[in-house]
Amino acid sequence: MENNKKNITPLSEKFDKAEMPFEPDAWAQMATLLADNPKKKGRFGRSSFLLFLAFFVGVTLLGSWFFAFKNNEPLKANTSFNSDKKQAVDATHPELYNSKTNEQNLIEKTEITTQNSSQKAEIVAQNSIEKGEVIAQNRTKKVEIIAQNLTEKAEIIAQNSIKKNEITTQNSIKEAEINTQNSIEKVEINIKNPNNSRPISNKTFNLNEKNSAIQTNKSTVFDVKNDVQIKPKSENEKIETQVPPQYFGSKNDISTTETSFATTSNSVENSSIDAVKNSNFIEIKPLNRLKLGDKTTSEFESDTARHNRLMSQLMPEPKPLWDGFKHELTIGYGNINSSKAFQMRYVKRLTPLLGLGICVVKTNESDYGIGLPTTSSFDLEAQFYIVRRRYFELAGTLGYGYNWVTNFEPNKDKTYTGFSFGIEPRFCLTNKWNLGIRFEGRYITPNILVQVGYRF
Amino acid sequence: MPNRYFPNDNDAQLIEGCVAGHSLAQKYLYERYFGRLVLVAHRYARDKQEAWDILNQSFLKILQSLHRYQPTSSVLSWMKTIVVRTAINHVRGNVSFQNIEDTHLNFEGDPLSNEALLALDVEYIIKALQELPTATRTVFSLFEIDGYKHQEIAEMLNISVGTSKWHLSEAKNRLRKIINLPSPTKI
Repeated sequence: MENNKKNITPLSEKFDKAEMPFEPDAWAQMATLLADNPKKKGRFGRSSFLLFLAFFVGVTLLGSWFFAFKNNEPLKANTSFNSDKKQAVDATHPELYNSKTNEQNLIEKTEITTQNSSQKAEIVAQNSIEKGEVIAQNRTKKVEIIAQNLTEKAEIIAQNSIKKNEITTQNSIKEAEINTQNSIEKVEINIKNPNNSRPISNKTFNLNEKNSAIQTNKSTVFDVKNDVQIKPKSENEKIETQVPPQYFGSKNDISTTETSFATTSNSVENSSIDAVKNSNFIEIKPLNRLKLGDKTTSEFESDTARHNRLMSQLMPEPKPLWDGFKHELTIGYGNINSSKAFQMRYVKRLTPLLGLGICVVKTNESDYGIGLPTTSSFDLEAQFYIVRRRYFELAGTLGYGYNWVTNFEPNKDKTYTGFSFGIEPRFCLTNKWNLGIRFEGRYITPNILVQVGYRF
Repeated sequence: MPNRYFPNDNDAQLIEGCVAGHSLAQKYLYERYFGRLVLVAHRYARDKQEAWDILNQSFLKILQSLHRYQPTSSVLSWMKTIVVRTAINHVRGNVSFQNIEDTHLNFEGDPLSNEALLALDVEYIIKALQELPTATRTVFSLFEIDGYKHQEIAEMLNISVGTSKWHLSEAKNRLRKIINLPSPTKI
């Protein structure tokens, strides 16, 4: 700074050497003046902070609304109790560990479609369900249909790797059907009340291959009169089904080739199947008690086509992995308002779009604080925290980052590593704001995101 | 950056604390330079309260500008410059300086010599200056104590050079009469 004193005079030298005593009252007036001018201390004033706060709240509400709108149907599917004509549960998402519908009354058809990683798919039907169906493709550990009353048909269609399929009926189920293609370890039908007036009329196992476990399944109960005979002789061999005519309709003609299977259900008064050669599976679904001439074989879908149709109807587009993880843990080192700080943060993902958590900061000035961070799936991050110094400071950051992840494949049950780069303005109510940069290494699984980062 | 500050911290530490907004550092810096800076303010003020007002306004500007301070010059001279400029703005806001026609300028009288002023204590000089009219006191302080030339003073106060010279002459004439008083009361 330029010294504007032009000439040194004898009088100026005299004044330079002089000094007046300190006046505490003068400082008291100065302190009042400082308290009246807090905004001039920093560039980021209170109004700017309030503006940011309003922006943050707006983004949060908008994100919540967007997600609720986007995911309305899957949230609704599990909570229907009465009068649904058809109940469909999409259990393809890895978030659904246990897929279950509780149907109490008047369900005409209940259907669970699982594709990946469901540990249990379960239908509990108490009354009047006409058909309960579970379609499980991969890695479902247990598929279970529990029907208490008046279920006309319980059906499990499993393609791969189901460890246990179980149909438990108490009363009056007309038909229990399990259709499997591969690697079923155990198939079990438990009839708890075989003396009921409406015993199971038809039990059908359709086995494609490698279902030798069926032959040694000791827990299968066949003590119901007029059982369908099951004769799995060897792999890929035709399985004959013998259907007692008194439990079917007046006419039931089935023609199969060596590599085709026909499954007939109950309550069909007259059905005719012309199985195409090399078809793996053809099924009649007697949902509406077909009358003669209502359907022809050309209208029935193959099992593969039926799966594809159901999948296309029930499964949404594959979601990115960010929608999957539920927890986010960050350990970081950086600065908070010009003070070096160590920070630990935990964010619970409330929705795939929005996460809310808590952070604890500890600076190198013996300050400590607690914060309220929130992140979104597209890596927009806002964070408020209170730091105790001489007085409490309310501060915050708003950052946007870019994620780079190695070998990223959306919607796969895999782990990834990568890093995040973000730019974030940081502000403080009682101090200045600055522009920060963050680097974070990431370890991502479908359920948790662990980050170690540095911010400056 | 330390979290606690003490009165014997050096200037750099206190300035760093002031920039970070620590009020304790602000207080210690204010306390350390109050005696020098209030003396500057007193030269342009009518009384003690006005001097404190000028000083506090100056210190507020100092705190707001500390992040721009470069330690190539002493912090005291840098702060003094701010106090002088604040005082000039304060005076110009309160007093209208009127130009005096050159034909009316009168340098009559027996001006006070600097030797007579140097023989006095600073507190007595301050007290005597406060007896002068504001415009006259301002010109005298700028010329005799702060070392500005008449041309610079004229530009600062938006007056003519002759008017500046007249105020200086008027100040010396009045001071001569004031310091001959038997015993000025202590401020």
